Amino acid sequence: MFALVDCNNFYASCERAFNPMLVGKPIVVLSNNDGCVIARSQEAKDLGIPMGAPAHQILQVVKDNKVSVYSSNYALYGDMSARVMTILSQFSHEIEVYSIDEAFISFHGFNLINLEKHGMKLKETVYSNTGIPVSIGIGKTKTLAKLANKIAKRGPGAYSIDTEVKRIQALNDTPIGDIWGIGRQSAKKLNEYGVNSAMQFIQQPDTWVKEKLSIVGLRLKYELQGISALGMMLKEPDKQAIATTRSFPKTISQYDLLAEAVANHAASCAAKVRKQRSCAGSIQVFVHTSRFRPDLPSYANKREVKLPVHTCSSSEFIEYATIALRSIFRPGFEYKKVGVIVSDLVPSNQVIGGLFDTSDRAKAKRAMLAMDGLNSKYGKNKVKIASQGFTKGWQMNQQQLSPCYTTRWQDLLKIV
Amino acid sequence: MSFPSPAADYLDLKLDLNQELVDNPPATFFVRATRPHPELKVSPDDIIVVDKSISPRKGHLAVCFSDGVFKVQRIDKQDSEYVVWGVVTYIIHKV
Repeated sequence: MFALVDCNNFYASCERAFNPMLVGKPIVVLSNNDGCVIARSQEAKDLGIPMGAPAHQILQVVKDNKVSVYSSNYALYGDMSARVMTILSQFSHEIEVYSIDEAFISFHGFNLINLEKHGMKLKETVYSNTGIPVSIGIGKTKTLAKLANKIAKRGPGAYSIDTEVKRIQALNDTPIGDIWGIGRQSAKKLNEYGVNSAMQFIQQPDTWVKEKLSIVGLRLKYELQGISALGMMLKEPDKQAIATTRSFPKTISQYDLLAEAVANHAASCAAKVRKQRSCAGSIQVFVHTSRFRPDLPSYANKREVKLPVHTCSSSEFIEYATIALRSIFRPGFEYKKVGVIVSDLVPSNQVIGGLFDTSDRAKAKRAMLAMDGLNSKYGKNKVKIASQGFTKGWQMNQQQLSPCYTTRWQDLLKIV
Repeated sequence: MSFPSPAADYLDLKLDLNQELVDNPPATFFVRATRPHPELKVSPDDIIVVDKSISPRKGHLAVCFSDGVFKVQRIDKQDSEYVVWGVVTYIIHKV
């Protein structure tokens, strides 16, 4: 059996865990730069605030209903997520962290116990230990667990599709578009053929399903029939490309500020590449002006630069990213966004040296390790490459940021 | 060529205070005292270690939420005037 554990309204719940005054009150969390709504408490959903709504469009409803508005505090959400996942791993050895607020756990060999009760215990433990409410769905396959989770969310928080009667009822009650893995396009296509519920979907012959939705759709059919076709992904595969991109709170026209942002994004990519013990062979920089300002001249461009030798050094990333930026920068435009993407990633112990490479790579590596060590101890970007600068004119707008209660000493919860 | 240290085979890892002070890491939170409570041996700026996995019982020192603020107090009776946020396990005090 598989279980899917999903944190309820995760970002809003993290804010609430450290501020009980928010219990029962509407909360929204905004994206980077406080641009638009990316998370809502149930109360905010009930007020009709849509996901993705631009912040400036919800001012009235926020004011009228005393909605609490927060900037996204990823330091807090990341730490709380890690706590929840650690607790889940105490309930099963096999856990697949699917996203920041969801994980599959496998209950193979747990046949003798009442899994719904076990799920309830898990839910209570996570809540009392962290303050985060979760829902848990259990089923014979990952897809059925995901479906059970939807039912759990509407009910007591734990639901197991453990009998044929329950499975058939769930499939009858669920529109095919609500099934995990069926996108909007596929749902539309199936509806056109008169397939509306998940039950109608599994009644189609294998060949028909494969013809319409490929092998992926067929796997889904098996999963809904209770035949496991999707296994646990216990280790996340290393990423093939790593990107750091940000919109500016205000547009930027000066080259110096843009270069500083690019240097910071490049350094951030380098730190991420080192974290997964890779080296990159290629670096790309892109810039563009705002798409929402038709009154201003628009411009967008990108440039990819091959690195002479695969590397994970911040200073090399910055050097080549700056070259790329210089080649695409045009004066006279109001830039809204820049990004750095590194690709062609290989494990750092499989890097082929360059014949004409004169740089002391062992020394650079020691410097980077020392820098990562200091930054993990004293805080992000405490030690950096000089070109990352100090002007901060390009940095994110985070007007409503809550304290980083669990990751910064100066932000600890205050007790009277 | 120098002599190898005779202690080399006996080197232990450095002591980590987390091992001593944090019994259940995912449920443990550090919070900061702001006011003196001599009767509870709490002073301003103390770091209070809270383990939310411990079920609160009468007599426990706990961080509680009441009247819109977090307070450190001794749990005396089970009434609804406050909500227990977590049980205190250590108070780290600078002398």
